Amino acid sequence: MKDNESGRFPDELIVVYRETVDELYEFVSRRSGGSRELAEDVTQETYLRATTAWPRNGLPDCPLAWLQTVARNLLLNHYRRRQPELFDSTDIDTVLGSAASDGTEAAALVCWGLARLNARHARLLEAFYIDDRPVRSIADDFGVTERAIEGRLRRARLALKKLLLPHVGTKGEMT
Amino acid sequence: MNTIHRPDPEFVGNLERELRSTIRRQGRFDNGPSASAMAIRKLRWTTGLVALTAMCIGSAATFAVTQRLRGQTADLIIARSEAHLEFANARLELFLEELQETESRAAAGLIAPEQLDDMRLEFSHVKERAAARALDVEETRITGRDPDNSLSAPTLRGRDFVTERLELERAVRLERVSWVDKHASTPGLDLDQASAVARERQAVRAAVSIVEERLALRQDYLSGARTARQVELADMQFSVGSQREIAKRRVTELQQELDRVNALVEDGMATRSEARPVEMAFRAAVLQYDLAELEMQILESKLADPSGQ
Repeated sequence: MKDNESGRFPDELIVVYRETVDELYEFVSRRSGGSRELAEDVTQETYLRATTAWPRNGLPDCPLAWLQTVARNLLLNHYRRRQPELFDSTDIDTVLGSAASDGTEAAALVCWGLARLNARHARLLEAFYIDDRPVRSIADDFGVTERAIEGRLRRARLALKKLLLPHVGTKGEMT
Repeated sequence: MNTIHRPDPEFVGNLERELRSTIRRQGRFDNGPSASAMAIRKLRWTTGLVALTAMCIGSAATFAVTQRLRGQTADLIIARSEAHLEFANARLELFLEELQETESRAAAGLIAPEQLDDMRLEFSHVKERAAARALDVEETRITGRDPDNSLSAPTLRGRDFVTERLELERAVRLERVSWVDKHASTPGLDLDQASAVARERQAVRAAVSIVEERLALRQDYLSGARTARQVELADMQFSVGSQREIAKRRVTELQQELDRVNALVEDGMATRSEARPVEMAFRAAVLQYDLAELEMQILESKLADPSGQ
């Protein structure tokens, strides 16, 4: 944490806000299943929490990472509270593919599933499906080989499939 | 970024305003008491609260309404300040375009270089206004009130807006000094023009002295060398002193004018009624000088009072 020089703090917060709002909004929006209302609510709540926490604890070294963590937790809480809509598709891979290509219903369903997965699987799938990052970049972050990431992705995908399976079907027919 | 993941600019603007309001509200409760003082206070409050609850309900409601109204007023003041800044920036933008056009016309020899100098001077004024407005916005966002430009105004979150504004004013006045100096050295001025330029030189240098004096007073206040009251009185003394000087010069000029008109009346070349306006202007200038003199004496007696009353 940086020193909190209270004299400059409000201006700093606004500067951070301006620097991060686009990126944070994108981060939230990609996890909001196309709901602009949800993305705006979560973004707003995240910054409001920063106005309470930062004057007390000081500005974080990486404000965007702090904001993304808070936003992610808010989204997880949101998805844990609600029941997912049935997704009109014949197989789970279509859901995942659709989530990656901004299919809003699919993204909402995947986010719902991620909120119920263990943290390691969820983060990996988020990086791959939601943030659309290549395996090599994820491997760099995790400090492992691409092959290891592919293996973990496979296992995480299986875990997610199990969770989502009851919610995927066509016109009332479950697959 | 995919457009669906881009925030709506209206949402971004509204959220920034909300954050500013939140920060400002929190700022009002900064610098709270120590933990032990809090504990004692809490105990006292708990005891007193039981007895006062009923009475407080009405007051609390009033307080809440007052606080909300204050918050709304602060938001309005900030919005007004931002509107002033926007206006000043728009004016600056227009002036810049005009200046660039004038520069290219001057380069092409289509206008006199003096015209370009005039334009540059005007531009520096407009630029100073925009910068001062930006400072006003920053200060207003912190306090939720109109900018306080008095020499004993407190510093705000490490910023000294009073000095910053005075520095801007000094810079623009110094530019005017350079401009007048340049004009004073223009060859071929007749006697009247030379005398007008000399008067202007004196006036602009006096204006710089006023700002520099105010800056020095501000520093005295911040360093604790003088109290707020002493600084404000000294500032008023300086301002009244300047007004007295101006009035004195005006009296001398009008006295000469009146002597000239009276001589014309005695020679039968002007009527008494023609001399009347000059006579009235002279009397007004004398009264103005007397008034400034009285103001100065009052201030000097206040400054000499050791009780500081």
